[in-house]
Amino acid sequence: MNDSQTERGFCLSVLAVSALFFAEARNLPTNAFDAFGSGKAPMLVSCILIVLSIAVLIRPLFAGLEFKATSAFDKPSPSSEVIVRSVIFVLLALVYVTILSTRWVHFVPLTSVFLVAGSAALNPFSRQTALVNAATAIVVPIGVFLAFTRFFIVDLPGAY
Amino acid sequence: MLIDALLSTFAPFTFLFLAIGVLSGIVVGAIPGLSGSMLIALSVPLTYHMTSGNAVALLVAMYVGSIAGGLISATLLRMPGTPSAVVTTLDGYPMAKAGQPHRALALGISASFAGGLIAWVALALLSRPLSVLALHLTAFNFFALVMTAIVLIASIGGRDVIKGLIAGFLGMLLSMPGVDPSIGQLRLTFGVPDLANGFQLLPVLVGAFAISQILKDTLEVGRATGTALDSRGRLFLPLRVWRRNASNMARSSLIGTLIGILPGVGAAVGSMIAYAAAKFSSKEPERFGTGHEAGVIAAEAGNSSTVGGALIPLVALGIPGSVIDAILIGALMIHQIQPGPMLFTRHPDIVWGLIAANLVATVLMFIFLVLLTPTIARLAQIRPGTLLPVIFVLCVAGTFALGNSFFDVWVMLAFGALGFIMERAGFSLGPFVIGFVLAPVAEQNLRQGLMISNGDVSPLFTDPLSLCLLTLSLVLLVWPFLRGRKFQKKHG
Repeated sequence: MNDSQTERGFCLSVLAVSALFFAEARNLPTNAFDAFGSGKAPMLVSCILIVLSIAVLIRPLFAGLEFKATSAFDKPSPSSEVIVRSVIFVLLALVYVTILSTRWVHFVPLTSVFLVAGSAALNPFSRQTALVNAATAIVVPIGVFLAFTRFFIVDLPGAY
Repeated sequence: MLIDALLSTFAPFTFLFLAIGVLSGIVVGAIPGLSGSMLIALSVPLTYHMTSGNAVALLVAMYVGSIAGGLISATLLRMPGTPSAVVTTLDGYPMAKAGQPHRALALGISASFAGGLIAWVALALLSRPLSVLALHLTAFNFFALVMTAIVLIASIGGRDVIKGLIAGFLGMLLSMPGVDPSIGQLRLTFGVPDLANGFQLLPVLVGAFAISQILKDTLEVGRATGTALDSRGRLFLPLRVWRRNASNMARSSLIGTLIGILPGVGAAVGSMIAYAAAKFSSKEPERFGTGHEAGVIAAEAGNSSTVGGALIPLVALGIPGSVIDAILIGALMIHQIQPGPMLFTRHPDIVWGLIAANLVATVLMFIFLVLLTPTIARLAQIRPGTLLPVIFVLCVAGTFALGNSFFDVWVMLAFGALGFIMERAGFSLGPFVIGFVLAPVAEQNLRQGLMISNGDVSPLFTDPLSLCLLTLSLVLLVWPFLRGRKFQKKHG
């Protein structure tokens, strides 16, 4: 998906969300001392968003109305291998968060497994990186657990 | 009160937090792919059990350190550690590549220090009078000021005005679910019980800055790591170089301070405008971009001075001068401190503590950069593939710690995905976050104004200050289009 397709898709999503918020806000009541009410501000902002999104969508039809800078720091597209690694990492992250939310597994072992798997997904394999990842997977979860529960005195997700 | 506040920064724990904050800010700022906003957003939940003074000291120190730290990788790797260091690469990297990395870093460090000090003077002198002035602003004035901030960041801070406005207003819309700030009624919860409290600010910030950055960085894991800096070179400038560049440092720092004061505009714009001004007034403009010392100084003085400048509207008006200041607002709120013009009156110790922390952090930043840059430069070579999962774990743990709620974690992930998609589609996160933070302020002031005027909206357009601000917003909106048309007419 190229950048202009992403832009159009995003604008359509904004249109849909704004329409949804507008419809929901229309039913909110006003009251005697605040004629503006709870609904006017969301309705106003939704309308502005709808107009602006339509403006972006139809803008290519009116070449010359836009003015934007390009940057010398625009980066080239990533390779398919990098994209696959990223997707695997994102899936691992979602699985990690889902299991944490069930509180079936303790924070430390689950986080160790995630760190090993996540680093393996993102780093090409070498003996050195494997050793660094293994060390990180032991030190970080224990360090975070102790720091949060003993020093900051805050709860951590996962089982205890 | 300032003297008392300065003395209290030397209390053991406060000084320790200042040192930790500056050092961690420099390290994070130096590592490409990480950012000060990410570090500060992650650290805010951890300050919950600290005193407000220590929390503010830590976060302000991180702010100072992270803006300055971007200089290291910008100069050595041509990879700005933070967006504000982009302009530093224009002259810092060529100078380093020509065999003078220590000179490039020394110039940048000195300029950062000078910029920070000059901005601090403005912060100490201007914030109290401005807050007194702000007490006389009407509700409509505040509403107009907030709308101007959003338009300003959309038009100056981003590449595309309309997209900037969409980002800003989208942030405003997504801040509205939950409890109506004026009458306490539930709205826009769509039947989801967890939305009764709306989207909490910190999960949104951690998601928008940290998670979206992680997602972006996973697509850049193969980047080159560059070479280490030889630890033998000096990073301290001789006096004659300070004297030779004094006027450039002063001008760039003043520009950065003024840009920092403008609500919503950040360090990147400060450094760009300071650099442009230095080039314009130089006798050798053609040397800019080739490793000219004036270029490095202008860029770094311009970006460091925006820190102090951006704190001025934060403490005086409760309006963030930059995106990181928006996160600081979140930090103040979790410590039950309401930002706004009354901050000086209700919490003078916090305000003066923040101002004192900014000064001490600036001095510590200079010391740490002079002593530790070679070591920090090595950290910039840490493999992102090892670092990113660790940062993700910290995001999850920190966000959960806010309210012991997994809903916040899911909100963080959702806004992380949203932030990633927004940036891919060319929509800046800066206006989005500013809109999210300022929407309750804008709505509350608009409704208050309408209640006072019995529903009459005309004072918004007849009050001189409101009219000026709205006119400025209109000019900022229209100017890029007119400039584009003029450019196209000139170049066919």
